[in-house]
Amino acid sequence: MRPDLTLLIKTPVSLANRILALQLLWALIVYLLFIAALWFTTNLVIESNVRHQGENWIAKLDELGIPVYASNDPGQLADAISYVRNIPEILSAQYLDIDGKKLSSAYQRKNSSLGDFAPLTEETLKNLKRTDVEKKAIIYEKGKNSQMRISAPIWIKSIENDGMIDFSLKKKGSEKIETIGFIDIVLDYSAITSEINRNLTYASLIIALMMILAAYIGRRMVRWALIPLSDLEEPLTRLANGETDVTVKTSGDREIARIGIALNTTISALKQRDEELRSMANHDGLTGLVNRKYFVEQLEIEIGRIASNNGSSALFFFDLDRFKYINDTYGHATGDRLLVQIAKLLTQRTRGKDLVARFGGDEFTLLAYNVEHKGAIEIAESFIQIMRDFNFYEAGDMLKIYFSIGISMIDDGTLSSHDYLKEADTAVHEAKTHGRNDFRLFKRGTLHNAQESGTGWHERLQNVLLNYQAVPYFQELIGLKNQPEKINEVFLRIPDIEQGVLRPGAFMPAAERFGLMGEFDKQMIKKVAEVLAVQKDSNLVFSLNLSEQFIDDKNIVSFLKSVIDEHHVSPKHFIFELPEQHIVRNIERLQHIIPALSELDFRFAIDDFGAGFTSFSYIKQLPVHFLKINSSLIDRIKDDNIDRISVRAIVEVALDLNMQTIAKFVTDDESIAMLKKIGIDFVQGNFIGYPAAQLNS
Amino acid sequence: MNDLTHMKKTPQEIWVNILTFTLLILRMRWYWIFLLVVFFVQGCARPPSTAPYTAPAPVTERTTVSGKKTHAIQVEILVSEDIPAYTEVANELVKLLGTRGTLRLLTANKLNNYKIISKINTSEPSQIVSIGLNAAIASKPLKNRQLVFCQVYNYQNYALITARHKGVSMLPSLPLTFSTWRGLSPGTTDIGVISGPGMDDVIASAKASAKHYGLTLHYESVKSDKEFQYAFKKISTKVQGYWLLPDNRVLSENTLRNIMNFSVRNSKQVAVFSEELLKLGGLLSMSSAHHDIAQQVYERLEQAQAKDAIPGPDIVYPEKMDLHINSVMAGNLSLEIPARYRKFAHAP
Repeated sequence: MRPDLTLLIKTPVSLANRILALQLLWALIVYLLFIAALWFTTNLVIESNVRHQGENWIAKLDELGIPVYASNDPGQLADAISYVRNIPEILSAQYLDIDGKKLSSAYQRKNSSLGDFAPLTEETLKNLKRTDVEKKAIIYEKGKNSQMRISAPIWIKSIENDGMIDFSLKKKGSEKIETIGFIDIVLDYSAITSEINRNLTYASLIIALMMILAAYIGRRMVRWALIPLSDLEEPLTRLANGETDVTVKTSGDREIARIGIALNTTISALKQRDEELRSMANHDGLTGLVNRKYFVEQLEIEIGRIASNNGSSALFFFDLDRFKYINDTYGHATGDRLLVQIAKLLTQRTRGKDLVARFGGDEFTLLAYNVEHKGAIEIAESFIQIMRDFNFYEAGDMLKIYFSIGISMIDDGTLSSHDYLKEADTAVHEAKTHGRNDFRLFKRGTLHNAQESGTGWHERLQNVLLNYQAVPYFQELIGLKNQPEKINEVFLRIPDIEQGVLRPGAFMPAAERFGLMGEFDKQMIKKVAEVLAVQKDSNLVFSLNLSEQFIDDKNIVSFLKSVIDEHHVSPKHFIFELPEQHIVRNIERLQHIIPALSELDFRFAIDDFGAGFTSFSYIKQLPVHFLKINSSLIDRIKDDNIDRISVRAIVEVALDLNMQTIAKFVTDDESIAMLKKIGIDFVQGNFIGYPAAQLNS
Repeated sequence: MNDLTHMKKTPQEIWVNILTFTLLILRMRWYWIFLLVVFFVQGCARPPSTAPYTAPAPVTERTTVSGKKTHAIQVEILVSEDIPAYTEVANELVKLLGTRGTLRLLTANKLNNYKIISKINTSEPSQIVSIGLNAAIASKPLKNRQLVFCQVYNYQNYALITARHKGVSMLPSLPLTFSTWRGLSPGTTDIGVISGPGMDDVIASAKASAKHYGLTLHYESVKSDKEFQYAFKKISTKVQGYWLLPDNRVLSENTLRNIMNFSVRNSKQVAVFSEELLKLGGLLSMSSAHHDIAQQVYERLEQAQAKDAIPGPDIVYPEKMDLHINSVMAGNLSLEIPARYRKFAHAP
């Protein structure tokens, strides 16, 4: 992960903390709501109480004010004043006559300040005067600083005329009511409010403390409740780090137990899949043997062991002789079957502790542990003997298959796995050079023929590529239908001091082994483009063989585009040949590449068409332009009716699909005539002309 | 049921009922028919009385007897309202006057009342009896007729007294009142009395009578029910009891309850004007008897017959009264009810 990205990713919050945060948030909301409700309700209660209390005081003042109204003597106010003086909440009190005028000087508490209460309006007085109501109209007016003004009428009542005749307490509603004046008082309940607010503050603090305590207890409880969940963290972290030897507890709470069971099931599945992947990564899919990568790892481990413990082991390098021939002749499936049988042979004839690997296409390796020099030779001899006894049966033919074996003794801890493999490779080449079906033990300190050893080939081929020394040889194809196109197949050669040039058979295995074939193909394509650029012949066409390593190149399309752009040549001058076995192994990639390049006007040919039974299936999947018929069908076309019929069938299919056919390895004129009759478009072979460095123009 | 509201069925109505029953019988089962026959025999066996109803009915105009005229002057009896306190007095008067009396019930319809008064004013000379304040006020324009009113308390307020217009008090005889109280509670010396304005002559008479029986009357004149309460409490230290006058102007139900509560709490004797108030803690209730009022009215009418004005005082007091003593309060006040009053004592 990029370091700058790690800064952007927020650390996940713990579930317990999240629950606690929610709990606290909820508690805070409840607390605030509760306090607000408490404050609001308390103020309502205070106000209601003040009103109620005010009404009582008004009633008392109503009673005490009677002498004032009876005598119109302000001096009679003494009782009322002494009454209100004892009530600290009453700031002022005054009696008004029926017109709202003061009957006496108003009482006002000393050192008090009254709010701005306006005199009673006529409308207010009118409302207060109403006697057609069950209860006196009392008017409350809230002022600033917790002051409230209460105004109420003073009623007198009398029983109606003749009401005393036939008097009954049960009779109701026979009274006359008259308003004779008003009482107007101003109350100050700030002291009550302050007291209540102070108490409310204390209550709030106590509640807050209780809530904090509850939150602390809640935190402990949540943590306690989440312990089973927290216990999952450690195994899950280990699992996330790639460990699969993890077991999650399945005891405890039901929900957690279920999660545990589910996780254990998942871990088991992961473990199984991991093992499968590891096995796939370390084994060859065809033979079931370990692959090159795994083998090299084990080799390095063994080298390390020998470096520390001494002793010796042996590295065997097996190279199947004639495998390419079998593959080309009998097809890919046969080649595969042969490889499986060889793998079986090797596995059966080695000790259980030894390690057999499929190292490359037809190359096998064996790491024989704790083997001395003598023992290694005995093992090699036994394998040579095994192969002598081995017969491979295919299509009614009995084929003899042989090994070339190279042996390197692992007894020097200073050498690397690469060194040992190179030694074994050199030894196997020596064995091949000296007649195959033989073995060679690499002897350190002995001068090896560099050119024949793997080490030499690598350097030599690298030099050829670096010095742009690949040599194209051209073999002309003869058109049997008077076609204007002049097709030449291009063969790769490399310079050789003794022989002038070397054929691919001598260096191609090494080039493939060292991953250099793709580069050789590129060099050849460039050289052909240079020829085309010089020749400027619109009918000149070159057919080139493409290696698997070139096909594997992701930049194949852009490379070819750059070549034709650089040399200003048309893609139609290129035909790329793909042998069936390459197609089989790379079908998915070719399904993308061939259409893309065909669109640019490059053309494709299936080489050795008809060698296998699945040939026809490929032409359905790949839009190729030429079918180059396998030499085994052309060789005996004169004599073998089946081959003839096969070739005819191929030609008919090609015609139907608008493809052209090429017959290679033609050996005589009779064959050419027959092929022409069948409808073959082009023929090719040494009979017509050997490949040459010069283009036959 | 009082006589004024008595209802009678006519023979026509009886026969309609019989016909209805017959029709019902035709639709009923035999046992129902049997029951109905029984009811019929019980109901119809007694034919409706055909005797004349002597009691005066509350009609606007009705003569008691449609017979020959007597030489005595006719009496128009105007009743303020159809309540027992008035109708009982009226009925008693009719009994006393015989064929001379004519009952007229006034209503809330002032125009109608005015018509009645106008008709009386234009008819043959007659004496007038006004029972209740409304009737007394309505008959004030009959200045040339001899008029005796009764069952009116605040007659001063309405200037009802003239030479030809005089009354019979709704209060019982003042000497009787105070002698009774003194007899019941010999230790009582000071009595408070509170009323609205304009009661000076009554109070003066009362003070004199009270003094005669060794009682001092403390009087307060007030203008409202609130003042009443205030005065009631103010004089409480001076008095052992209160004489509660039925002055509707300064009494309210609330005031009545408050002062009665106050009296009970402060162990004050209260003489009330209605038996109802004994329930609130009154010691004794003294009210004039209806037949006595009627008798007093009758006597005043008789005394005035040959004269222009009505002789005697402006107001005469009935000599009899209805007395009720609250035995519970008497016990609470530690009063020993004398033997002669025990028959009037009861728990309210």
